[in-house]
Amino acid sequence: MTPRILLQLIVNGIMLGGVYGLMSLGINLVWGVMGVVNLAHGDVIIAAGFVTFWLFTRLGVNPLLALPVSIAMGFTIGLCVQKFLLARVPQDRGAVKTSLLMTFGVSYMLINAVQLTFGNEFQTVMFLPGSWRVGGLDFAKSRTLAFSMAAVISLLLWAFLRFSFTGRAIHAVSQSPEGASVCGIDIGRTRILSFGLGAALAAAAGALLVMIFAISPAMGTGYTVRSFAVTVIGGLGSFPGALLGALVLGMAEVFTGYLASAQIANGIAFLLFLAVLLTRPQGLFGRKTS
Amino acid sequence: MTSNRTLVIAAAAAMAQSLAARAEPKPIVIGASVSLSGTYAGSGKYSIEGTQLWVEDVNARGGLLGRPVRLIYYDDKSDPNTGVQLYEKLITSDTVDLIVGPYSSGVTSAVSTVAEKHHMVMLGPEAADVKIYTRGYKYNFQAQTQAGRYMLGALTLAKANGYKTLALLAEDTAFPKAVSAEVGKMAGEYGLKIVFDETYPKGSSDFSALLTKVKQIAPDVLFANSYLPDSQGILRQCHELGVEAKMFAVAVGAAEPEFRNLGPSAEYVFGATQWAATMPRTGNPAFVEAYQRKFNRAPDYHSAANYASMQVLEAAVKQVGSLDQDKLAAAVSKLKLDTVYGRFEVDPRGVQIGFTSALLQWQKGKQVLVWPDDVAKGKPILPTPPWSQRQ
Repeated sequence: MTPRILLQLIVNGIMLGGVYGLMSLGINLVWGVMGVVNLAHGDVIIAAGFVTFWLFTRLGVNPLLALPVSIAMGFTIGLCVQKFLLARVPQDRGAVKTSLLMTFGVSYMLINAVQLTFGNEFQTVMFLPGSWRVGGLDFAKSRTLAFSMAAVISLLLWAFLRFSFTGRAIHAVSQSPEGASVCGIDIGRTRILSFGLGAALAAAAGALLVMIFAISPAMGTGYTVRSFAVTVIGGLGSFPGALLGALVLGMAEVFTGYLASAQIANGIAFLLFLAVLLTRPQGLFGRKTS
Repeated sequence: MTSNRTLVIAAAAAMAQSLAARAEPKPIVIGASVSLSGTYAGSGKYSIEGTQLWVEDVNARGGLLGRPVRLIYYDDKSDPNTGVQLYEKLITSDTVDLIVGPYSSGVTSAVSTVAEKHHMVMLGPEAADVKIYTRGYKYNFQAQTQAGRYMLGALTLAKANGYKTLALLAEDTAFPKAVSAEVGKMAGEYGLKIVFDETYPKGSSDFSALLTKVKQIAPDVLFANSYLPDSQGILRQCHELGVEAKMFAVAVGAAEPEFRNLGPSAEYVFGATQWAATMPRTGNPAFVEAYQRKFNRAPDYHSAANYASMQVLEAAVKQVGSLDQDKLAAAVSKLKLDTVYGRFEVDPRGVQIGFTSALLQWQKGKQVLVWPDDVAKGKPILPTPPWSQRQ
């Protein structure tokens, strides 16, 4: 392996990891705040991808302008799911199980809604084909753009959670709902907002993903699983951790694909997933909680 | 008395029923599964439309054996396991009279065992992998060009232009692997050395690792033995990673109009096709016109292959004069029929030896047939210019 190939693989791995990172931020947030894995997460990604595709091919809307539309759509879906479904689940011992099953139902509704609206075929947005050549390395234009947008969105999210009152409220609720409640935080409202935000992040990921890969309506489950794996690898509740976990996965896939085979690269996420659960259950970059 | 009266009423009812049956004969029901979602959906929709058009045509001609024909089909989601369940359902629960094969070698291979078990004749209109037909099965017949013939045109052009090295990339399912294997066997004859031969799992979207390897090897020719979405993904990422070759060819995908969505990355790409509207085949113009009218778009080779399979089945049923599956199997194995897809003929194993292949190239946003000479509509453009000099 020449140094240039090595550098090129690192670039490819980082680009891929950036998208995985954005994909997993939403599932991480929802899981952290509500203790629920949103099984419809990947389907929101796909739905947003198809909305972007539709806006681009039918109305000629620049995919970057379609991004806010997709985010708004994702936010609305998340808001409604939390307000009208999950918030109505009685908060007893079975609450988590019931919520999980509900998101499973939402997943199927979304898959079928996308199939009925946009058809069943693979679609992609052919925006900015080709690459920029810098220092002998190829930076695929669409991937570089998606990666930069993912980085900006992650940064905004981090700042929001860190510095705004609402963001800190979300943090508080994820750490201790009772404590937050005592401090006067409206838990119901915070949860609705968190779920909306989680789905909005999924939608952002979808709008960027469709610029890189072809997607089809039934692919969402695969993305849910991958986002879940990234969250476990990086560390639940840790945003820098989740992003680093995503980069680790992106690199691992690209390098095993190059050195071994595409089949092994395809399964490496789950090997890492198992290895992390066995040796470092809090995730590579997660903090231990009592 | 009461019992007598009941008897009379029952007899009258039975008579009325049989009279009604005579007026409206029971339809012959044909069953199929097709990939309407999942990886193969892009090509699968053309398949089922070919069959649907035949059903309309045959009914317009007065049906089959004097009975109307009806089609039942389900979406197998491009998944062999789902296909197996659906053919079991079609045969045992829907009790269809005839079946026809699904889309792709992978799904056909799986459901061929169901057809064989129930002694139902099954033509495989989309099964190019010969292995399906070399297992001693008696009811399965190949109704698609053999996988080994798909890349003949590309190999011929590579040889004519003096190219020496060939890289093969394939989805690790039945058909793409069969194409790679057959090309591997033939490459030597065409003066080509295989310098890269790898597969990737079905459903992959990121090919950057594999293509980085290909780029390093810098082959003269790259064959992507893949289906529509992967063919598009691979070409797009070749463009992004600056993977250069003198010739790019794909097994499936370039023949579909949707390949156009690739934009500039589609230019100069060669693709196998087994049929084109302009080919001199029996009944071709009428087929193309009727298809365009019914579906408001042009047929592709998948449409024609499925239509042709139904023509073969129709001919066999007419010859036998019944739906006896053993007699139908005997008839199909001996049948030589000129269809819209070319001459149908199988060897004693059931392998297709009649249907041939052709090659097209995307030139200025259009598909141009470039091989073989007798059907070609234009000249191949070779070598492919570097990515930086395209647009």
